[in-house]
Amino acid sequence: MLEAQSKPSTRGLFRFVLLPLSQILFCVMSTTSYAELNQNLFQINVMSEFLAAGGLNLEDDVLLGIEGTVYFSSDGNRRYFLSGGFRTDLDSEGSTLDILSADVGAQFGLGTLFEKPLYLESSLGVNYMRREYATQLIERQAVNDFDSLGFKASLGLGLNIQENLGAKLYLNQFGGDATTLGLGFSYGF
Amino acid sequence: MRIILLLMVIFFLGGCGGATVEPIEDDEQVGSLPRQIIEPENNISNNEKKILGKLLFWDPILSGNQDVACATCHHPDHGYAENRDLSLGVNGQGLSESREFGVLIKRNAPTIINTAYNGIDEDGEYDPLNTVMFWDNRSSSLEDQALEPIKSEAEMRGDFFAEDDIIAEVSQRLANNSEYVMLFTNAFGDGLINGERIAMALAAFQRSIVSNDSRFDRYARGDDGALSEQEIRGLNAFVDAGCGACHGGPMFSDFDLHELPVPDNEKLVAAGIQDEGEAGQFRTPSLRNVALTAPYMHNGTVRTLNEAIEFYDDIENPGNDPDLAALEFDDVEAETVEAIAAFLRALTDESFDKEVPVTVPSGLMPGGNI
Repeated sequence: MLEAQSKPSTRGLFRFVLLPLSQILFCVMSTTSYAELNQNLFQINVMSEFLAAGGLNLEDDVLLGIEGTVYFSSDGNRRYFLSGGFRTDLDSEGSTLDILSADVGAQFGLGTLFEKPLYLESSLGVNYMRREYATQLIERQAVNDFDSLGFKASLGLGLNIQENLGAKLYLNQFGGDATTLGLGFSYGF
Repeated sequence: MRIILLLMVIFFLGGCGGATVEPIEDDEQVGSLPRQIIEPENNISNNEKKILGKLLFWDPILSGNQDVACATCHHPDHGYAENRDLSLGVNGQGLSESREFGVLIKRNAPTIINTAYNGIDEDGEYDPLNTVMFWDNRSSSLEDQALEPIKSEAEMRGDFFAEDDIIAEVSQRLANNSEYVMLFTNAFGDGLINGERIAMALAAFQRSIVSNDSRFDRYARGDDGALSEQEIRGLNAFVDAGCGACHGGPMFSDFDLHELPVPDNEKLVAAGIQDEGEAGQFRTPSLRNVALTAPYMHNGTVRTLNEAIEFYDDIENPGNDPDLAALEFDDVEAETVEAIAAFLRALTDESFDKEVPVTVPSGLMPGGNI
């Protein structure tokens, strides 16, 4: 396990080549009128994410987040959106991780699953990450925080369960720091 | 919708606070070393005693065949240890990994840096005359320890002199050397040379080899910028995993004996040497300057710092040691290992005395045949 995870070339290929490439590929996908099935202009997502890889994958194993999405355009089978999100880890013992993000992206209809619209979602954006660490030393409680700005890339597979409710599995890459796997539930209006 | 709103409220409430410290036992906490050492009342250091001790440390006149000095296996270029799994004693030639031909010694040479602090607890308290030395804790002070390698047949004595005779022999050699007589007179007030004074001078020198200003020390004392983020993550991972149960305190050692599933050293197996330590147990080594003192473990079988960290991943507990049982370090990820290694490298402070004397009073080669 250690061997596999310590191969930086594999991680780099995924983070910096395959994921961004997928954004471009999806931009040219088009089949049926997915947009006609989804008329909501706004969406709120509640997300739970697992830190799967990256240098931050020490203690902040689970993130909980919320994201707001605005659909600003649609084109047959595609819908384009802007979204902004905030994530934080639930366990604040030892360390905390907060991530603010902003994305632009698109959803692409894939047809239906159990008669529910199924879609692929891809987005690119930026993230602002803040990490705080607290350690009990003999002399003192040391608390330090660090922040950074980086890119964010996301790839998801979603299902609109009802007219207003949806669920999504997704993969996020936050710069070179963290890869997260998540499950989100959304409410559209 | 109500569920989503409820989740949002919970989420925002949860995300409002900063990081909080994980509660850990006092004796598992780590911290900086005191800037001053505690000296035994019967061996208060002075400059003359340290000078004498340093020359004795480097002079192979203390060995039976006059070919091995303390510095042979405790060389400052290698953190006052050596980059060998097992030391080679009498009749050896060369330094550290280049050394060959000598008698195989059953253990890895531990560093002497900061042995002045051996036994220190989280309150900074220790008794320099009632502490522990060697991998098996068999000596109680630097003074008590100092003559043992000289008496060891494999390490310094050789087979020409009996164990009971060697100290008298080297004392006589020193007494026959006018420069040493002067040095002992300067250090102790008269020219009497015996085993006790040799030990006191060696101990005084070893007590001067301290390094208490690593970047971690500065961080612990309040300099938040002294450690990088990766090093702080490593520190947190180290603490969270419970490493401090054995590697706690200012010296990152509880100075207790523990049984670990350390693999056999094939050199010892081939030589038919068995080393059970103290009932299968060996002392927790300090992690101070650990980056300078590879390889690791009592028999030197763990080659690198990263391997030493990974050694504890899902470790067996042959002695049902409660400290080892409490270790939460399973399926550890490569990033965690790297972060802990980075943190451990921040325990390095190379400000200790690294000067090699040009000559020693005996006229022999400083450090012996190295």
